[in-house]
Amino acid sequence: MQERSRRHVPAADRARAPAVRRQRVRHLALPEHALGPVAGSLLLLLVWAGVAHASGSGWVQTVGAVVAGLLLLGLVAPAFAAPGLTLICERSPTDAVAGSPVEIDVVGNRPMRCTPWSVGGGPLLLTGKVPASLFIVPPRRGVISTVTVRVATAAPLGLLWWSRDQVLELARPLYVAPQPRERGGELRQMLTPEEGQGPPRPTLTGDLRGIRPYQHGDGRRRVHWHASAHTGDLMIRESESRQDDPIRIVVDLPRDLDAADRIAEEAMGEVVVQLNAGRRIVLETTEVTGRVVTPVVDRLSAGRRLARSVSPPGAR
Amino acid sequence: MYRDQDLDARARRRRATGGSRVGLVEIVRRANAPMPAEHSVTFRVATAVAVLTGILACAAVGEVSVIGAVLASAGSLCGMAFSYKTRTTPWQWVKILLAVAVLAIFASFVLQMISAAHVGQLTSIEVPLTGLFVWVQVIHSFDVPARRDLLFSLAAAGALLTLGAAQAVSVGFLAYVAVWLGACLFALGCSWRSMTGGVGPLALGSLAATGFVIVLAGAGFLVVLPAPRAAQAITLPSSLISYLPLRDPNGVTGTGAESTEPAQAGKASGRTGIGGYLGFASELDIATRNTLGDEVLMRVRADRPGYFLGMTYDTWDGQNWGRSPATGRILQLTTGSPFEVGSAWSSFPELQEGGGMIPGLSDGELALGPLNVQTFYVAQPIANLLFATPDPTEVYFPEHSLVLGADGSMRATIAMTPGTVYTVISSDDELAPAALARIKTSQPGLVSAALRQDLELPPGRYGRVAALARQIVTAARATTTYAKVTALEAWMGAHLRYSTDIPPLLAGQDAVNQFLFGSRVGYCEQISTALAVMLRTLGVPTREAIGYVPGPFDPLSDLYEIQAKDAHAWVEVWFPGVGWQSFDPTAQVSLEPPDPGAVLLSDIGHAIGALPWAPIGGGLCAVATGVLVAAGVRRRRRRPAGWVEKVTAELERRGAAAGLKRLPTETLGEYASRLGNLGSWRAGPAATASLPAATAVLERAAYGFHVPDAPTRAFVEEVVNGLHPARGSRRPPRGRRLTPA
Repeated sequence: MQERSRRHVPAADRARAPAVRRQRVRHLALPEHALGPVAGSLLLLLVWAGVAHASGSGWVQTVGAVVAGLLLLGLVAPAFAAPGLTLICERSPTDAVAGSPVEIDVVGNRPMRCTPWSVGGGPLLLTGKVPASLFIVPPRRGVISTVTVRVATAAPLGLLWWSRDQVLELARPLYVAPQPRERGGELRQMLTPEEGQGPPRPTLTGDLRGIRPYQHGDGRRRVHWHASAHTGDLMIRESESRQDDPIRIVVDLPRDLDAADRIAEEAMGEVVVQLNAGRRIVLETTEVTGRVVTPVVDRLSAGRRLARSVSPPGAR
Repeated sequence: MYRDQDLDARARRRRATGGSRVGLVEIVRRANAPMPAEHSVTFRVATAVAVLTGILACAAVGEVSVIGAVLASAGSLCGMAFSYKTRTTPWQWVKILLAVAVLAIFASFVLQMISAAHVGQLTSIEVPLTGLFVWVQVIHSFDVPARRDLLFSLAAAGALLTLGAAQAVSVGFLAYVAVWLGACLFALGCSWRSMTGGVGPLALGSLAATGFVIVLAGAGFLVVLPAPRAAQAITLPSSLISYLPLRDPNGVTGTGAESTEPAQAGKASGRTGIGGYLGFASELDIATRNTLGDEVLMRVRADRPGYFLGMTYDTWDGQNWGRSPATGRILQLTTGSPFEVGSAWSSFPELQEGGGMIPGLSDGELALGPLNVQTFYVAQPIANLLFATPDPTEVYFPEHSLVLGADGSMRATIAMTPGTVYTVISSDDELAPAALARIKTSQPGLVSAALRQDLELPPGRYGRVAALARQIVTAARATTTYAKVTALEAWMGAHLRYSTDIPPLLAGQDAVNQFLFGSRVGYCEQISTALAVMLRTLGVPTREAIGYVPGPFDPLSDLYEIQAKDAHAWVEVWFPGVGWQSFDPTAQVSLEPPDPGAVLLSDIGHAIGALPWAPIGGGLCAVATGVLVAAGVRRRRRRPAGWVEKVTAELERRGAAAGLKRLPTETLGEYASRLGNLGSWRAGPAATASLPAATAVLERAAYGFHVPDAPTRAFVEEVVNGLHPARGSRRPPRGRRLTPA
């Protein structure tokens, strides 16, 4: 393979090494929006006690005690149910794009509400052990093997939700490709080429491009004898030139996550543009195992490469 | 690779609210936004049961008429059915009609309140208020399409139950509370199931356990919380169910064929008296006694329970107590409720304390304690006496007139029928023993004329009694009235026996002589009469008092239940400068109000103590031994297998029990797939819904060097343990369940 061009994606803010920001996983069950239910319950019981003492009736006090027991259990019992919640991922995809929803199949051991917490996504109500689809929205590129999910329950009376975090292990690692972005331009048109209107398949240098009539000065070796015999005139073979060589895209990510994501998105955008233009691409990235320089033939492989890429040693 | 993102809670909240601050109008708009329709029929039925329970509870205590309760119940049921029918497409014009109806009912309530309410009497608006609650609830039941509306109905049912509880005095109200609690629990369980998708059966066992814990917690609250007292009430209850004027408005009624008939002297034959008690008449024959029943005559809520005085006697003829013309005098108050009786007693000089300072007593010792508020709920026809603790000062009785007797009694001019409620505030001018002990006995010659009758005895009968009394007080070196009384009480406690089975009194025989020097067996009337006579022989004015003592205390209703057998007789002794003081030589009755929690715990303790502990202990020991032996056997049988092997073996065992054995060439995933397709599981498809996930975890743990964490292990074990063959198919052997690794 002949290197003909080298497009370097500049790293605006070079950093040392990728820093994984860990969010604390809360295993302790805590109530959600407890102020309203608790204050309401206390107010209700205060009113009840006031009515009981204002009426001097023991039965009002008895009914109030039963209501207090009911409210207490309804507010506190989920705290004892929440630690027993378990969520398991049954099925998950391999590839995703940052900022786009991903559907994973989960199943819980009892009714609960689960909300993706370390990634984006909406809440999902699970009914017992019936599998359901949970949509997560990875906001960044990378490889995700676990997702922190906030599981919550209000069992048995549904008066107050108590929640805790659970680290949900995905069925397989999820490669989150960066969202393609072109610097200062729109990629929409290039990202969605219509079927049948795509560019021709890229060729290598020296591949036969076509034939033309002989011109003065053409070398003897370039005569295409079969075509000449067919047409009766000398025909000359034309080959691919160096202009069709693969484009080498070098991605050096800084340590700063935001800057690295921005560069990866621009790299992805460049890859998409070049792929749509029918060019061949060699992507040079740094992964955990070291420097990787291999061609990418489609968006999927490019996305996985950029998902795995990290900032090189010594980057700032 | 990354695990987490820096999405803090605040950003999430902002994102959830659309990225902008939410104003009050927006909050109100969201709160009133239409909610998804609730499709659960059981939820609606449970809510309807709770509402009906509230309505019937109000009807049971008389706050809603029977016809009104029937109409409200039928309307509520129709409304629930209508709401269910139109839950997805509510009819807007129905909402408008309901709003108009609510306004009309509220206007009716205001008019009733204006016309019926009296200044300072909130009780008069309780019935209209209950009616307002009931009919608003009925109207609301026509517009309960969503879960939130049904929960509101549940809360409204609780409010109705509370309105009923405010007037409840019977333990039978517990049935309404129990039904309401059960319906609420069931409805809330349905609500929770609806919140999470609304599929699958309702966990009735879990709900029952929840109810049990709620009852325990409620009992705990009842034990801990201070009991409401009558004195704390905003309004003092008094009401009448019927109005039956007496034939003799100034007399005392008995319990003849009609409750309006004048009382007659009690006889052993002919009439039975109030619950078998032959007192509360012009005379009291202590030689006759019927068997007293245990029917509840009255229920009393009192700050300080004590001797509830009915009336007193001052003349004694050797067998009968009677009333002298002086004590037969009356004073009729026509001021209407509340009656200020405290100042009215001054019309009777024999009831005055004598005036002036009491030698040896400081002002502090004469200071009165807090007022004692007592509310009486009449449950059976009784005499027209208004019972109360000593020195009543104010009476709330919904009648225009009240009769005060010189004997200290208060009488209604109408019959006291069931449902009558009245409240008496007493000052309880009972001095402490230390203060009474310093008051010297008046010289018999210095006793006022009004008290002479309280010293008189039949002539020539009680020489032996007087000698005995002098001997006792001399031996005790008693010089003051209080010392004499306590000395005589101590002697009686040591030498007399209590029994209601007394020997008959022969004709012409003196009851006191026969009792003190003959049988020495008697009950409160003989004992108190003997003390009164002995004190009279010592020159101490006394009189016989009859009334009731507090019966059993009901901690749920905070009421004392006065039963017929709680009729009692005691002695009132005159102390110069102080007045009449009560002494009960028969039995010691606690004058401290019992704590409801203490009574409840005491009852529970007694119930537990009454259990047959020998067989229970033996059974528990046998069970514990069996458990230990089984655990030992299992421990010996346990082979050193890993968690994966154990769970896999359990899965294979349950599959085999369901009739599907694992093939030797079959992978665990294939076997789980076959189990999932078996379809003969008790829980249906839900039993194997999570089986692929659990199997995947097992395979990863077995072959992928993946160590699942504790929750995942628990989940897999729960999935495997949840495999039960359907009825009719083979069942897994009992006694073998997975244990946590």
